[in-house]
Order: sequence, then structure tokens, then C-alpha cells
Amino acid sequence: MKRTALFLLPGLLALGTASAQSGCFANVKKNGLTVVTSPDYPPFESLDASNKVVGFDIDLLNAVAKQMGVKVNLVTQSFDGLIPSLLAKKADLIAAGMTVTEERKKSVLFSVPYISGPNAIVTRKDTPGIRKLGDLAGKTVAVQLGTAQEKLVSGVKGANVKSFNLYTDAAMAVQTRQAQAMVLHKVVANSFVKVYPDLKIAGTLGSLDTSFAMRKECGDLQNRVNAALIQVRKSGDMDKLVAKWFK
Amino acid sequence: MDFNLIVQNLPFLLQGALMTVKVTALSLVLGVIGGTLVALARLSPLRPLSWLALAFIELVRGTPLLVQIFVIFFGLPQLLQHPINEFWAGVAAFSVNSAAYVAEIVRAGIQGIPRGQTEASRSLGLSPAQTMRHIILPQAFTRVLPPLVNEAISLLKNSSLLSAISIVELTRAGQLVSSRTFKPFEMYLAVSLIYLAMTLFLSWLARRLEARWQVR
Repeated sequence: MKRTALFLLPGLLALGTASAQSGCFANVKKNGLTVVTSPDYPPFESLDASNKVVGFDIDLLNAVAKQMGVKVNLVTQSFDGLIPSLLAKKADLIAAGMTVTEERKKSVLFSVPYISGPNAIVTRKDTPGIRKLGDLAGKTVAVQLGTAQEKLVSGVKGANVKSFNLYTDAAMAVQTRQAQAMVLHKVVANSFVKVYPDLKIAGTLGSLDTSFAMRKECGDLQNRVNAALIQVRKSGDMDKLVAKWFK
Repeated sequence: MDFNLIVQNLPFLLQGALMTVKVTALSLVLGVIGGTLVALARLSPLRPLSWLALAFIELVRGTPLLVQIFVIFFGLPQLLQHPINEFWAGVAAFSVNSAAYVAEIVRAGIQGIPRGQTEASRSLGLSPAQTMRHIILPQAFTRVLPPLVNEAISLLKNSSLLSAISIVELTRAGQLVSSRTFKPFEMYLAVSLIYLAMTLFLSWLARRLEARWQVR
């Protein structure tokens, strides 16, 4: 088995490079830009009343696609499956409020960051004494599976990390006291505390960059996406979107 | 294929498998005890008791297990105004679910024992309760062993649903590794093989039990 796998490997690699040479952008131009997202992270992306995916990422994505002259096919799935889908070529790009991390950089290419900001700790209003990362020691902390926040909290000694499929489940766990805190991007925390009146932002942590992600061999696509992002920023559309979704 | 990745993460996966076994075994024991009681209630001459048992069975059988897990995990703490550890929420959901299915299996087993057995036992002076305990139930359980093993196997596999309430059982252990390494194929392959090993062991155990009980 192992021998066969090794024997097949060069063939598979050759296949990989062959498709890389044909060009990711040419392919996207022809077949459309297939984008995966996980719509449980408002205001980056969430479902509206008619179960349509909406959010900052979606508007920005459409603006970028318009600049590039391609059409978007949006596919939704759970967050932990986004990078595997991208790597399996089920998608060309991830638009999911994804934090740039060193670990992910080993597997994917990131666009220029389109937003930067801190993480936030969210607790119930009646939970005292949790303000910084160290305060999470000895506490049960809800996060989403496969997120940068999951990794961040896992680094806190003594924190009991609970990973959920969706951030909405994590928020529900804090609301129902099944967890004492959750950690997520500050702007998303703002949306959650609006929906759950019992929750509050108890503290903010560090700063992180959010980007679109693409496959390693798609440097040509990355260049186009970056150029389009810069164009959207120059035109002032970026500011309009930020004002629309984050204010 | 990255077999090294499987080998490296095997201890973590086996830790998850241990949790899977723990939840399944505990829920199965509680489910069989609960299910037997529900089956007895269902066969009771007391009409309201029988209806109550039927209502319970229909309610549990008619709703998805995943939904039951969420209802108990998120609903019960609000009702009790007290958090419930996700392990016990999972065991509770699984025991209740299993009890409904086991009840129907055991009921079929009890009804499959010929009436003559009851009549003979009663005429020997045993009370109805003694008849059920010493004559009917032991024979019924021997007969329903195969469907009970089915229930055990499906319970074991369904325990993967507990990943949704953050229990790190076998499936979630695999997801955690693949969400870190971005290699889901390797992890899910390893996870399926471990599940298969566990269910094959259960089937083997059941065959041995069946062979032993047949002799008596």
C-alpha cells in the first residue's frame, strides 16, 4: 500500500503542476469564482431573514469580482471544512472573515488584509472578573472548531476549551451558562451582543488581520484579487462597506 | 496520503475512541434498564401507564437524535437554571433515545414468549411480578439479543453526533486534527477504521454471548 502510494505520488504531483500552469485566473474567468464561506459570523457573513447569505465579505467579494470581471458562485459549509475544500479544489477562494495565521500560511495564500482589529472576550453580563486572556484559566471557553481563536484559547494554560461547529452554537452555550466565555473577532462580538441581551464584551485582545484565502498554486489569482482589493479601497467603496456593516 | 499523520495522531484519536466507548456503554446500560421499564409500562394493564409509555416512544422515535441532543444541552440548563456538563447532557440524550428503541425491542421479545409459560408459572404459584422477572424476561432477553446488538452498534456510531455539543469523542478528535492539519481524508479514514474495529468487536462479543445462551 505504502509503496504504491509513493509510486503514484510523482504522477499526482505532475498533475497538480499541470493544472497550475493552465492558470487559476483563466479557469476562474471561464467557470466563475467559486467561493466557500461559513455564514455564522455576522457581520462578515450570516443568513438574512430569507436565508440568503449576506454580509461584509459578500459585498466586498462582489465588488472584487466586478473589478476582476468574473462571476461568483457562493457555496456554504462549516468553517472547519473551508480550507480542506479549497485544497481539494472544490473552491477557488475562501471569504469567511478568516484570520491570517502562520499555520494557515503554510497551506494557503492570503490576499492583502481587508480589515484589521482585535479579538474580544464575550461573557454573560452577570459573569465578573474575565477581562484578559489569562483570566480564562480555569474557565470553560466556547469557540468555533478550526478557528484562530480556538488555537489562541488552547494556548491558555488551564482553560477548558469547547469547540462548536458554529459560532452561533458557541454564543448559545455562553448564553445558557454551558460556557463562561467565548472569544471571537470584536466586530462579530458586537453583532452577537446585540442579538443576545444577556451577553457583553468583557475585554479585547491583540490585533489580527482578516483576508481572503486561495490555493498555493494560484499566485496569478492572488495578484488579481489584491489589485481588485486595492482598487475597491481607492474608489472609496471599501469605506462605504465598512460603514454599512461595522458601524 | 500521509500515513505518518495518522500514526502521529493515533494516541489522540484513541483517546477520542475511549470517550466514544464511555458514552455509548453508559447510555446503553441506562437505555436497556429504562427501555425495559418502558416496555413493561407499555404492556401494563393500567391503561394510562401504557399510553404514557407509547407517547414517550413516539415522541423520541419521531424526532431526530441530533435535535434531541441540542434540546437537552441548550434547553435543560435554562429550565434548571443550572449548567449541565456536556458529557452528562450527551449521556442523558442517548439514554432517553436508546430507551425508546430498546422498549420496542423488549416488548417484542416479551410478546414472543408463548402464553403457556405465564400460565404454567402462575399455576406453580409465582406472582405476576415473579413470573415476569424469573420466567419471561430471561427468555425474552435471549431472543432479543441480535436486535439489541443492532441498537448498541447504531448507538456507538451515532455518538459522533455528540461532537456538535463539543464532546471530544472519536469523530470530533478526527475533526480537531484535520482542522489543524487540513488533511480530512487521512483523518476520516483513520476514524472510520477505528469505528469499524469497535463495531466488529461488538459483533464478535454478541456472537459469543448468543452461542453461550443457546446451550442453556
